[in-house]
Amino acid sequence: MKPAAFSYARATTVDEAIRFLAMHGDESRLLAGGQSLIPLLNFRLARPSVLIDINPASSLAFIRQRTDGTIEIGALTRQRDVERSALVSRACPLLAAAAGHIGHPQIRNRGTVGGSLAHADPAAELPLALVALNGEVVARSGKGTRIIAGSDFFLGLWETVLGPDELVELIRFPALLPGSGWSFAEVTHRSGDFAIVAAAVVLTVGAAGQITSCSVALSGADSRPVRLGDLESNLIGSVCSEDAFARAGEVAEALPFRADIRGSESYRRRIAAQLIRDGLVRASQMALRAGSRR
Amino acid sequence: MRSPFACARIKSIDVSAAEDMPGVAAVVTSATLGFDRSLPVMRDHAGLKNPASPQILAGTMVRYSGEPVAMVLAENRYLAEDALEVIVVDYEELPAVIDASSAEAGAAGTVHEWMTDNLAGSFTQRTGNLDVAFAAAPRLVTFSCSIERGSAQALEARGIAAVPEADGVRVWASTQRPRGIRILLADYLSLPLDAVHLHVPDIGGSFGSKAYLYAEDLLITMAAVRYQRPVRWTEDRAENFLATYPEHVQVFEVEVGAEPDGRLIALRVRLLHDLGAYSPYGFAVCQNTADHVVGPYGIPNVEFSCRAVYTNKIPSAPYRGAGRPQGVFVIERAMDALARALGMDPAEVRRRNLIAPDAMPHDTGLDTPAGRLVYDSGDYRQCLDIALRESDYDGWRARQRELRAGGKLVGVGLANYIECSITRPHEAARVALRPDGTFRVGVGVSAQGQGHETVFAQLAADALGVPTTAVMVAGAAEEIVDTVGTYASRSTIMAGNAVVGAATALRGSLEATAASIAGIDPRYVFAVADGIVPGDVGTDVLRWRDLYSAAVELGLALEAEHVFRSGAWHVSNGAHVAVVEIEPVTGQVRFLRYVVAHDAGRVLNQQIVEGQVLGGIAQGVAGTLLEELAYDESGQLLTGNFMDYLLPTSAEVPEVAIYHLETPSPHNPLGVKGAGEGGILPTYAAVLSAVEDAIGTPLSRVPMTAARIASAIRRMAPTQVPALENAGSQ
Repeated sequence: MKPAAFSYARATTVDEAIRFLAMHGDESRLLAGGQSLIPLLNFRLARPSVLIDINPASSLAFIRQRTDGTIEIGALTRQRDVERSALVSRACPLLAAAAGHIGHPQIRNRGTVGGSLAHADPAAELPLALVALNGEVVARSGKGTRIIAGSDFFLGLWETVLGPDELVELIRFPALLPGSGWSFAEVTHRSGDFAIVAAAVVLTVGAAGQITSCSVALSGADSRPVRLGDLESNLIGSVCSEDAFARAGEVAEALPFRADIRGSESYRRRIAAQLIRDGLVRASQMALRAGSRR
Repeated sequence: MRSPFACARIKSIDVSAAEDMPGVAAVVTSATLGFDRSLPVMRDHAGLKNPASPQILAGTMVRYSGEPVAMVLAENRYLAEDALEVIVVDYEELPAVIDASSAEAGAAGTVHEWMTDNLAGSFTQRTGNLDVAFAAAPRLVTFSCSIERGSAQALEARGIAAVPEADGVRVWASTQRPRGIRILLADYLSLPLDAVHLHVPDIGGSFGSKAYLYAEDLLITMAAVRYQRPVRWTEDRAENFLATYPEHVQVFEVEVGAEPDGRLIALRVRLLHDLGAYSPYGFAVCQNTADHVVGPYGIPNVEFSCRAVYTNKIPSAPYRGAGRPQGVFVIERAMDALARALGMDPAEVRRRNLIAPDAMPHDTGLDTPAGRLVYDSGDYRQCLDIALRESDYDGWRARQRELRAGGKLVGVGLANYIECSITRPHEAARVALRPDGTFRVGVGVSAQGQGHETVFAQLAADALGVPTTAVMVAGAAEEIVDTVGTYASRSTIMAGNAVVGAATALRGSLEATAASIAGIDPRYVFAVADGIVPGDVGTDVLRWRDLYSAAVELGLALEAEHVFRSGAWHVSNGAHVAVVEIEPVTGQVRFLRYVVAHDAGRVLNQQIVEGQVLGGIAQGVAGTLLEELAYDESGQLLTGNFMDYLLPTSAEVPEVAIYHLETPSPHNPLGVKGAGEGGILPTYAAVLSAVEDAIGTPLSRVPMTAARIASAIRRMAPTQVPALENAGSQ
């Protein structure tokens, strides 16, 4: 398996990358960590005529925190750096945990945050975290910069709203609110595999123990990560209880699920229900502990 | 270029555009191949009535997805793959026969148009009188089961390079069978054997998959000779899934007749064996199944019958164990089924049937193509006892009840096994003193990671009385004529004893040389690490390199060859105990304990033996729970990459405790037996037995994936399920 012929362009800055994109558009692909693109090239499933290597654009690799607590991560930041970042672990612990579930360390050392999001594999961890955490993607092209809400970013299997001339510049994740708990769990066939199903939960609990905000997101159901909006609105206002979470699990069981070689529809459905139930329990316990410390 | 269809007629092939592509030297199809033969059927068997030999390149019919159709020779693989894209083949796709049962029924058509059905052949192996025994048996148990073991997946795939020489060709190949492949290459190319040189470099694994003369081996060598240019082909993983032969499914119907106390008196096994599209290895795999289906048990009445069918899938080949794990699987399934039927402990049922040590050698009464199957030695009961004791079998049985009461699905499984090495007919070794005073050991077998270099050096060094650092081992040595290859756990038995024979002979002749130089009686010389001491202690050592020079001057022998011949059954044995816990929603299996009691005769190098056992267990565990060659109805492989074909990582493999028993074989001077396959043989049976025990319902199929376990749990107990224990969570 060897790729079809392509030209190679090396972008040392974001502007340069955008210039190349403007020039080649649909005919080109950005090469970041290469963990998905290179196999696609080798199988000749992707056949760009130009490969724009953005690895030299080191200004795209950073993790920083704004004064409002929001974490900003440059698109070229390696997944391993997110996993091990103290800043991310404090402000967005779910994101650090999600990154730790990606493949194996060798993959995370190369794979980038922007690359994983732009590749949009429905079973990948970072797209799920982006949707669960209400993150946003800052994309740039020759025409300027636009901000895309995480929940609007993914269209389907390997498909995003990014235009052929657009590049992910950075991703923003709001910091975890005080009194919050979270959970990120997945079931894989083997250690390091793509998830059959993964569930991310964030809960904030008020002084009276009632749920004030809630995010429940799932991968493995659809061709992109989904937020369970109805389930979330049912939970908001209610008090954390086994009953409430069991009902949430039942809601998840009613969702449509996709089927592929990694798992049938019913297998995924049962795992999802269990992951959501357990995730809510863990997140609520964490939130209640956090709340009691306030 | 490989066929995209499992079954199709080739109406035309147009390679003209490919020939014009940049960097393309030639394109070869069946029309321009120049051979009117197909590939060899390596073993014959009286039962194989309709052998079908794989095509070198398909001309008019393709019979499996991946079958070679054309070869592009280009300056590099990139250009060759570009050229493949412009070859135009007009296929007429035909309905494919994928499933072994429908192949046998014949309703789906035939794989080979010259046959009226899909039956390649059949055979029966029996002892005693089945009808009488079953009529008299107080208890009868019947069941069916199936096992598909996937593919070997050596981490280094195949490869071959050939360079033309003045009057022949020099070949570098990854093969387990150096001399056989060399002879075949010479034969197909009509070259004298001396004109074909074969080198086998260090190889990253084979597990049975590299013992055949594949189409690529022949095509690449032919191309080097025909076009007078060096030619190289390295298989990548995607190609390996389509091109390197795996094993296919075996489906069994089993009847057991027993006494109420658990002793088996009759066993009838009917096997439906899926060969794939051709029979390159004949009945090698299903014959091994037949020879292992009785296992370490004394069963007076046995009938094993096999029907082997063709399907539109890649041909099958031996994969580590090569039919043996399936035989072990069947008899161990029978033991578990019988234990359930009688309400007895599965360990006790097994113990009552094990052949006693004082009954050795044990004649099974079964006449095989390799002669009467007689077990040489072994203490099967002690092996089982060690495994039970070290795994705390009784303790787990007690704890299991408590854990189950708490909603935990914990199960204990066990399996005994025998492992028959195929020794026949011979292996030779040549040991030579070199000018620098070190020794070279030449053997005909090649190594793929088994540690031949270590063990043969150890054996030669011991026999010569020198340190192992003074010995260099050369595998696949061309001067060795009496050699077959590395397979069926035979190398240490056969080549190992040959090395000892040759080294011992060389030491004798070098001592005689030293004695004649010193003018003393050969009885008074002895070898030490540095050389030979001609006379009493204190006499100056005649160093090896000086001895070399002296012997050259005197025209005396500096090397010795020894051929070890044997056709005897060398039968290793052992017992595995697995303790597992199952996560009820996902069906995923976690190992709580895995214990092996292992007897492969004398252990020459414990680390190497344990490496063999552990590697076999890793493959067996994954074969039971993860790895699966899944095909769709049209014969397309659905699991043709490492994302979908689930090789184990260290996280999926249990920690294993190994205990050795050493019952020497009486059939060779070293007392060794085969150790290459014992690890994998009982793993499928032991793990499935543990899973079945944990969920409390009989299971009949391998691979038993987590999803299948989960659905078996759902079918039996649609009640509430406990929390996910082993989901990766934060």
